[in-house]
Amino acid sequence: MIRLLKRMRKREWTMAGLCVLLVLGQIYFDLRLPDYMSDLTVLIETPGSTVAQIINTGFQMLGCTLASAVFSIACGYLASQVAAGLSYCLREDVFNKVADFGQEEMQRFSVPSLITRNTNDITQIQMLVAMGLQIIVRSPIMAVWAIVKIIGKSWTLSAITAGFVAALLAVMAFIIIIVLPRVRRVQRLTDNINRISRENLTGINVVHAYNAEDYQQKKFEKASGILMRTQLFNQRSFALLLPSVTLSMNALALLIYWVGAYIVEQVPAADMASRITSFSNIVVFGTYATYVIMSIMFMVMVVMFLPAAQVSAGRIREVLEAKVRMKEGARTDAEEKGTVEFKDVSFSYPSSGKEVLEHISFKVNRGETIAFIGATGSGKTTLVSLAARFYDATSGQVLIDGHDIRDYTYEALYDRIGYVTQKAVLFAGNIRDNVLFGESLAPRTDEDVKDAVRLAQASEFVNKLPQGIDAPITQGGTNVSGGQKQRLSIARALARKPEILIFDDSFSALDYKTDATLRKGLSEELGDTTRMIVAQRIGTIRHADKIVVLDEGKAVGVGTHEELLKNCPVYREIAMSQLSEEELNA
Amino acid sequence: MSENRMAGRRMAVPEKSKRGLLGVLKELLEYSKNLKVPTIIALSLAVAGAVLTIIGPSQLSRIADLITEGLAAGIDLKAIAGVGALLLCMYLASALFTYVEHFIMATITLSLSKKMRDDLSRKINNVPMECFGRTSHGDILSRVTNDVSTLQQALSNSLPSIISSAAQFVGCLVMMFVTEWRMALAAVLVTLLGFAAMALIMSKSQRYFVARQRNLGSLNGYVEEMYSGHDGVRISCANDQIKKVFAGLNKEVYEAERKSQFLSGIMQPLMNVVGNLGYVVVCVLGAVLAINGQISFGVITAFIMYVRLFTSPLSTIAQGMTQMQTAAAAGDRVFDFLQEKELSDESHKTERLETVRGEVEFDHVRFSYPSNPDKIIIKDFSAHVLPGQKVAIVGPTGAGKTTMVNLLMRFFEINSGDIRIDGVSASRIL
Repeated sequence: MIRLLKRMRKREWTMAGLCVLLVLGQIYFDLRLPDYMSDLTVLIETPGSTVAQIINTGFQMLGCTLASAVFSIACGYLASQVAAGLSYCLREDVFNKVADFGQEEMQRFSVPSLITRNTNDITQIQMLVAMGLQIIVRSPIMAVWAIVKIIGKSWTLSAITAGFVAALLAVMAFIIIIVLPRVRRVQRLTDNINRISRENLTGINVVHAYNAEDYQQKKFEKASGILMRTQLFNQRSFALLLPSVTLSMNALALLIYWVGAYIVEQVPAADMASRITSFSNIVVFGTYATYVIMSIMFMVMVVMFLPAAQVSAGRIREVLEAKVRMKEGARTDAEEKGTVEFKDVSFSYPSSGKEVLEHISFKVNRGETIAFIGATGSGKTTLVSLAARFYDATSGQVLIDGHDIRDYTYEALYDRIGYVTQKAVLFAGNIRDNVLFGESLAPRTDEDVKDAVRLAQASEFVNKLPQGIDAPITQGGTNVSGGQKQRLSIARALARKPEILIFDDSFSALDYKTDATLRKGLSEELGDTTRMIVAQRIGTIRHADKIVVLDEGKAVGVGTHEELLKNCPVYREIAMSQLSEEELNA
Repeated sequence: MSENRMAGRRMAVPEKSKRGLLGVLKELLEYSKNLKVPTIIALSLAVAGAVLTIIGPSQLSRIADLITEGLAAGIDLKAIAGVGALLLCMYLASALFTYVEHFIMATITLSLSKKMRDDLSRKINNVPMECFGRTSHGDILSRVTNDVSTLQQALSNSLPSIISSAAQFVGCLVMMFVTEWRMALAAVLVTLLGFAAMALIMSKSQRYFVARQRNLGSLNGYVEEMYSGHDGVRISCANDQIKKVFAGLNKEVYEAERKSQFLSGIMQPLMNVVGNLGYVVVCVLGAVLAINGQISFGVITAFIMYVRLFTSPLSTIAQGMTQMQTAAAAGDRVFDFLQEKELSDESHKTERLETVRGEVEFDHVRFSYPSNPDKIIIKDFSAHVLPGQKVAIVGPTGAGKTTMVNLLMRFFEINSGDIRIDGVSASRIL
């Protein structure tokens, strides 16, 4: 929590400091009021006082109230500015940090969790600071100051007040030590319920198909029951708070008068002036004691806000302090152009440790097409994602244009590589924004956009849209079909005019005809561009210059279609399952 | 002062509920039959607790009077002890009532929320598939967790606190006027003036809250989009570009927040000011009246407490109502889903395929997705597959291949025609 506060700008710190000063001023004036009341008590009980004297004191009290009002409103203003400023900085820091995350960090945190951290968690902190600056600072100072003011007036009454304060603090301690950890647990249990429901929802077809409704329901009800029992304990414990604070406040006021009566009675009846002073002291004591209890009550309120904010703060800190494993290099230039080489590359995901790729070696030259084929889980996607440096190889070397991929700056690297992901992603905006997304060295005129769209075989449907390339795209690209989405994301890669194009199974969302025309267009117009293609269909890759057959992370065959048909059993098996006898022999 | 009364402070702009607050409450009572009696008991206890607290100051004022009367002669300590003991009992009873009220409410609303969660979960497995086309997964999940919990908190805290605050407010008003009408009038006037000022600020600030909510919404949407498409961002070297866009959005949120937060930030101090003003007015007016011998000193003591008891319920009620509005919207969402049309009852279906041979027949099947009834996906399709036959379904994207399989699994109901397995209509199979 505290560490997050360090991220505030100087401006916020100045305002926070000012805020504390204002709180001090406010408390000073608030605590003057009972003093005046004590003057009034003396005036009332002393025969011969005039109304003018009372009115005079009254004006002074009014002055104090107004001064306190000015201070507290100014403080409220500053506190809100500090809170808004803090959340502004935090949002910016978290977003910028995540924007530079690598694949590994994204997967470790998971996207939904990162979204919550960037939004709700920060709002939690903001609320705590907005309230806290006023209450956390004000209440303890108020309590201590009020205690200092009364402690000399009567030792007996002070002792009684201390007793109540101690009792209240004990209740508070109980809540903090016993209940707050369980409040934190509620969050975890809620996540658990969420997870079970989500599982049921995403797998609803499977649940229906296997009649697993009762099984799911039982699992849910068990988690739901645990959540209920934990909450029951928490809320029943919290139920203690309000009555005990109210009781303390009332009973303390009563006891002060009650015991006060005995104290006044001890003063000899002859000394009227002392008796009056003693009585007025008691009245004032009662008011101050109420201030003390109220301050504690406000602190309790903030304490109850703490666990949620602490959890949030922890989650935000996790993001901000996460170390991004991948380091950017410094190289921008290279002698070769359009070459990709894998030198004895092995790879295992940091989370599992199991080798996904083992000792892969190959080289592609400028303008060549290399294809990767193999069963699901054979490591095709992993392999090309290493070429785009989504991950770093566990051992071995990936070379682009003759230099280790780790030596390049990201900008230099991604200016050389165009990558089309398996699942097409579009962003809200229009078609042009989507095609020109990001930065690259390539020209970015409307002509270039239309060119890329044409090459990606998307002209046909884009031209049908009344606004053409200015046609809007909704969030997630839900207003275009799956195939159209894929073609637009191909256009995005093409518009970067890269030396190397990587297609991660990007053609399977297209029908055969579009697939074929697209590939034909690419080889005719982008003859100089190196292509790496992951595919399921033999038809997509049979004309590739080189085909790498992957099986459980190992390259079991490298060569052309004809060569592999002859010497690679795995390839032949795939081919036979997809092609007819004539096609095989053709 | 439990976790939820705090939650009420969040200045959320409540959504408009279509059932309305009372509609949701009515529906709740119908939903859970054993809710009514404990709730009535708990609410009565809340009122009783509040009323007992209000009687307090009048007794305290008697003690103060007993002391002032005895200043010259000698204090009647015995009488004080009597009043004190009585008052202490009342305070204890009030605390006990409040605790029992909280205890009951926590217990019944938590078991209510468990029942709701379980029913929602069961419902997920019982609604037709088309329901998930209309409502996203996230939306349904948020009903199971957030909405149920919002409703529970409002019921167990806001509802009783609104009732007891109302009782405290009315009781206080009555007691003040009974004790001394001039001072009561002054105290009420000052308080009302304060609240009028606050209401004015609130109504003026509404648009800042709306603006903040809107800006925050678009910022959150952007975050979600960019995080989900992180691969695309990386490969397009768009890091700096999206940072710039985000910075712009963030700036807008900041500006809106500064304005709206200020307004909610000064509410608490303003409450304080109103309280202090009331205190000053009561002290000064009381002193003037006392010096003229029109009231006893005890009246001032009583009023000092009444002013405090009088101002706090109003803000509690205001906060509680805000939370109840949010809860009504949450209740809407929960009940909407609970009342979704279920799959037709399967229990009357008796056909059971003991040994499946594997004969499948599509007989003039016509089908359109319920979300888009005009677009017929399958038009008059017939096919007969014999046991052991291997049949392939081929066609371009969107031709209806997957739909066909979905229909065989009865994930959706067909519009007309019939699908038979081993000669038995699929709609009759258990």
